[in-house]
Amino acid sequence: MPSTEILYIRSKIACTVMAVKTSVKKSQTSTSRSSKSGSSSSAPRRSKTTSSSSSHKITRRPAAKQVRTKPGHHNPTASTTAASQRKKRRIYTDAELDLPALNTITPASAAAAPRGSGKKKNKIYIDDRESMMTIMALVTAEKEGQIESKMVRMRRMEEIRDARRVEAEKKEEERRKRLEGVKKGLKGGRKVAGGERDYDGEVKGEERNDTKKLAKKRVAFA
Amino acid sequence: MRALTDVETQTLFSKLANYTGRSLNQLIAPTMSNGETDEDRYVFRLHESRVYYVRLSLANLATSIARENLLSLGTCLGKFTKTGKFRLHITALDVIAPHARYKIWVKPNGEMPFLYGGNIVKAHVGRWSEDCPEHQGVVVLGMDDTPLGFGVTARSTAEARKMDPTGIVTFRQGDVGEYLRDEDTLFVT
Repeated sequence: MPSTEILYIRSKIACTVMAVKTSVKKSQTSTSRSSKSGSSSSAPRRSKTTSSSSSHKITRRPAAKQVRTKPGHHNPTASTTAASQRKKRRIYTDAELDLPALNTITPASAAAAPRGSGKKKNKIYIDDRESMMTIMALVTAEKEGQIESKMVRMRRMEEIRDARRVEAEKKEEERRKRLEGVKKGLKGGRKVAGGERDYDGEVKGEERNDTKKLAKKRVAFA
Repeated sequence: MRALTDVETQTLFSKLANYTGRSLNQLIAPTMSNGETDEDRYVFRLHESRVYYVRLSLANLATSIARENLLSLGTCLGKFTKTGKFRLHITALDVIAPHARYKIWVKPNGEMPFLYGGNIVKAHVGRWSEDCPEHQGVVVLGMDDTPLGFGVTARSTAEARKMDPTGIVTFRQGDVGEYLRDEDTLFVT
């Protein structure tokens, strides 16, 4: 046990000694500061720097100055590029860019409402006989008109078709007649040997004989 | 369940008028017999996009049934599509057949092909209404005047006469065979 006590005492003494040393140092620094304030400031500072330069060999750069600017004021030192970036870009409307309008749904009730009224047209329920009859009359008249126009169109088309058919029949008859003539001509051609036939199949033998006679006629000079 | 709006009424009537003539007025204003009241007149009611032709007294009674519990009432004429058009159902045949403007009678050998969902070919036609234009709604009947369905003419009567026997004269739009073929979906929304 005494050994432990001795150790404890020694450590305590050491602590007190340290505390005394520090207090002495503090008092020394305070005295030196007071003396410096009294004398010229350049001499000791130089000595201090020389001492520090000699000890560390590092030159310190002066700290950058911070300049406070008032908000909202233009800073002349700021670059012009940053300002242009910050400039608000123009926003184009759809009409300016010629963009097609998007499809939108307009409710039937809103579409039925008169423009600019700002009110929707309410639903009108049809439950009484009179209004139903009115609508029925409208619808029936419309349908009648449609059917009538369809019928008229149909009749007109039918007339055109009939006319075309008649024309086609006529052409067919003509063609048939011509063909018959050719046939008849071919049959008759066997009988009249060397007879010339025109397209209709008529024999022109007489005419040919006449031309032969004409060819023989000569003019004689005395 | 509610009454139809003016636009809906017009759409419905124009569809019905495809098949019927002026006698369609009888649907709205039937000749009142003795003892009939206003409650006995027939009205059109819309329930879950389907249109029903129903007696007013019945429609008034039906208001006591919750909307989700009400399946059907009166005669279903058809349904409104989401685009606002009206599609006629085969159940409307009983309403339009007595007032039909143009009719086409099908021979017994053409009944089954029609009832199975086929179009009507010229060879199966027994009779047809004169002066019927093309693309006109017609009611299809059997030779015994039984309504079998309805459709749209492919050609006018004059043109159809010149067609070959296998040529289609009427496009089917509804036939009573649907009662069996579309049994599951006919009365369900």
